[in-house]
Amino acid sequence: MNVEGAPEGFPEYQVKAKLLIRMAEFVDWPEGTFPSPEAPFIIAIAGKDPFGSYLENLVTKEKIKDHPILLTHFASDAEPGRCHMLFIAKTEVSRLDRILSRIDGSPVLIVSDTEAMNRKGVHISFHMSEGRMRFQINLGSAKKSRLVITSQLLRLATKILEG
Amino acid sequence: MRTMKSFFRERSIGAKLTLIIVTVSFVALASYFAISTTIDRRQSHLVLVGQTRMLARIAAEYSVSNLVFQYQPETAADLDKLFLLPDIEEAQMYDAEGRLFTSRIKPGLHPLPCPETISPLQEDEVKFPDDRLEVFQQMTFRGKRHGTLRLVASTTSFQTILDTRVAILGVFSAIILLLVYFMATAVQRWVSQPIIELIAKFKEIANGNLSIRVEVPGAEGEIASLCQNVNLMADALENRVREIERSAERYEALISASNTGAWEYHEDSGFLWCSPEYFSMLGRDIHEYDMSGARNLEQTWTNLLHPDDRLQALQNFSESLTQTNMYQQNFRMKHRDGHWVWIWSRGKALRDPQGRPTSIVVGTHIDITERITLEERLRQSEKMDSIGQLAGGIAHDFNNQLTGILGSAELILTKLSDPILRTWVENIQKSALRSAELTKRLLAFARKGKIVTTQVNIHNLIEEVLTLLQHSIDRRITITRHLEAEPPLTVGDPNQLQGALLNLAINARDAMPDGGELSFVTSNAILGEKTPTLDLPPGAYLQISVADTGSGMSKEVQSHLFEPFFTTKEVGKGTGLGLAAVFGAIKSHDGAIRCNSEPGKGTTFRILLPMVTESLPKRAVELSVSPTPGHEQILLVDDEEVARNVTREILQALGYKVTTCRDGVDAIALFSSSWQQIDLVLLDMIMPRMGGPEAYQAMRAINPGVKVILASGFSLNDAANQLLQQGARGFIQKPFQLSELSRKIRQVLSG
Repeated sequence: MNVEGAPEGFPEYQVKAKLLIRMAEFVDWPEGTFPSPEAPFIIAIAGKDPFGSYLENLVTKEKIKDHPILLTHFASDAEPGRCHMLFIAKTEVSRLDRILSRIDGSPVLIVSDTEAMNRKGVHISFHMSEGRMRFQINLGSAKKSRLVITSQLLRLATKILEG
Repeated sequence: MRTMKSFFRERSIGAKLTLIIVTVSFVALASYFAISTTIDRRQSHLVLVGQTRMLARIAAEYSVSNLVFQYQPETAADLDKLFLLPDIEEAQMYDAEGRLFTSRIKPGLHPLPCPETISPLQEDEVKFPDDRLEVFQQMTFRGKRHGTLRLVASTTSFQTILDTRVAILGVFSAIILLLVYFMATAVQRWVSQPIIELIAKFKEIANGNLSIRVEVPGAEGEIASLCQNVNLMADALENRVREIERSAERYEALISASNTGAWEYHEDSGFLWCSPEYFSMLGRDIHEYDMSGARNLEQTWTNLLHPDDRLQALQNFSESLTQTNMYQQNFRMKHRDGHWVWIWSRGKALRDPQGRPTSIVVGTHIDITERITLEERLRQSEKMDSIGQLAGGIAHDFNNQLTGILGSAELILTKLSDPILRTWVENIQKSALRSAELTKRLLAFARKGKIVTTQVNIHNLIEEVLTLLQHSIDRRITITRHLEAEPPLTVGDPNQLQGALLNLAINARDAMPDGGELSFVTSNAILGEKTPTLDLPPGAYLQISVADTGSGMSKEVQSHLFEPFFTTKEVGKGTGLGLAAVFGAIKSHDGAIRCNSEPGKGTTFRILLPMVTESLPKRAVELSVSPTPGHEQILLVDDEEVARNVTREILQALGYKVTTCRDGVDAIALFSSSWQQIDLVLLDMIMPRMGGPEAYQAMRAINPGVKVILASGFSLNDAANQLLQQGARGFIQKPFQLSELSRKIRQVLSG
């Protein structure tokens, strides 16, 4: 993992891809979320996938909480709760509320691509600070979604929101 | 070890105490010090390790997300916070592959090389390279390993604390040891000072000051108890010594009061000690003798022994000591003035505590001279008495026989006219008379011959003796007299006393065949209460000395001197009765006679006679020569047939009518029937069946006016004197001569 939090000259979404996977390590999902150890950890991407093949390659090498990672596309009509983590790309700013309402209350860690989408319902949103990739955390939303964000992750956040 | 023990043993109690207390304190402190330091070291170590590990774990947990998210500045800032703990010097974080992610060094320290990579499987580990603490802590989250944290801590501060503690402990230990030393010295003084004082007092007591007592410090505790007991011991010792001293004083007083000489002899060493009395009874002074305990048995005893006793005494002494352990004997020792003192010596070996006799003998000397002298005198006196009785008996019988002989001779003479025959009969008469004279001397010795009691002038007697002697004495013998007694008067029989003096003078003459000096000396002598050598009551005495310068006598001869029939003269020259008669005569005059003689130097006889001052009327001694005839009836009573017959013949020849009886019983029978016809009774004193005294009493009962003349082979004795006082008319001693008998009868009949 020779990747800095804010590597200059590193492509933005490679960093974000790595951070996504690492973040998941520091978040606890409610019990019973994984019926078996072999059950996959599903990452859904809403909107246009900014990662390209990088994330696809990455998830085949990595595991989250010893679970294999499954990468899917978030369909607006799909069953909510079919994923554990949802990355909302920039392209979905306009459809954000719809997406969030679909999820509403399910234990899905919602990560937004930009700070602009950081609002009620989004748990973590990326933003750049002092030239490095950082993120904000909405602790109140996470609690509603029955997700526990560990202190290790919280102390890395640039801002923690309670609402 | 031994030298350390002996070193310790030779210290005083105080030093020992101090040494013990200081040593124990030091060991205790050192132990405490070592243990506490060890514990502290371990504790500090554990604390440091624990603290560093804890820090590492917290830091690992805290910074794991930084590592995961590769946030290097935050990681560095986190690690820098660790240096707030002063011991932490380095902190490095390695990623899951073991590559160095971030390294921080405590500001102000030179950066030390740290490993660029470590094993990705590095376990949690604690190492101590170069006095430093190195801790590896895995960085995990939810069981997943993300990297490793390495912390390096310095042990210097902990070492500094330890050093400080050591220094403080050392200083404290030194202070405590110093305090302990002072305390020990105080304790030592407190404990040993009384003991030191005790020792000083003991020394004083040992030097003889028994009145010393120890001050008792308080009432409780061993020292107080010791002091009390020391005082009790001193009391007991003092009492004991006092008792011994008193006992010794009593003993000395006893010895001195009883005039007993004491001695102590050590058989093995020859040590001899004698008390002052030992010497004083010999008229000697203890200071003239070496009483230092040297071997002076010879000087104080052997040399002073009588030569005749010496051998036997020494033999007895050594024998009885070895054989019986008890010793007792008599011997003579020389008085300073030359006379011999009889000593009764007794001794006994001291016993050891087991009762065995030791070689130390203690004993006494008692002067028994007086006792020995008295015993000797008593023995002599008893001997003389028994000899006297024997002699008296012989004389009595002999006189009876002589009465017959003399009477018969006188009767024959009256019938004879032939001068030749008359001479022969007269020879018989002379011999018989000489024999009668011998028996008279025997009786004198037996003190049964004092007939006459009259006042006697001794000086006159001496002059008469000298007159008698002057013709029969050798001219080479000078006679001297110093007659100084005043008055020279005594009471007694002048004939006996004259005979005694004559006897002594003749003996003196015979002792000087080649001439010499014969001296008579008289003087007055007053005898006091105590006259041990003379058996005489106190009073005034005449002393008559008859001394010669002749051959003298040995002690042996002197001891038999007054015994009858003892003579040193040739056979036929002496009768052996001379001095015996002298002795008897003096004794019967209540006097005493002593003899002092030394062979070659002469002999002195000393006579003591009771002195009288008032004059007694002199009794006339009539001496008629011719027989006086008569015609009266006489009853003659005598058991001796010859004497009876001869006397009857004599009396009949004188013209008397005579009836005879053989004893008192016959005489009484006759007298009771015909007492009117009997004018006079001649009555023998000693007869079988009934003697003179009883017969006289019976006759007097019949006729109180009976005239009786007593006759006896003994001289006038108490029994006869008694009868004379009761009324018997006269006494005649057998053998009697015709003239004497006729005169006596005539005297009684006409009186």
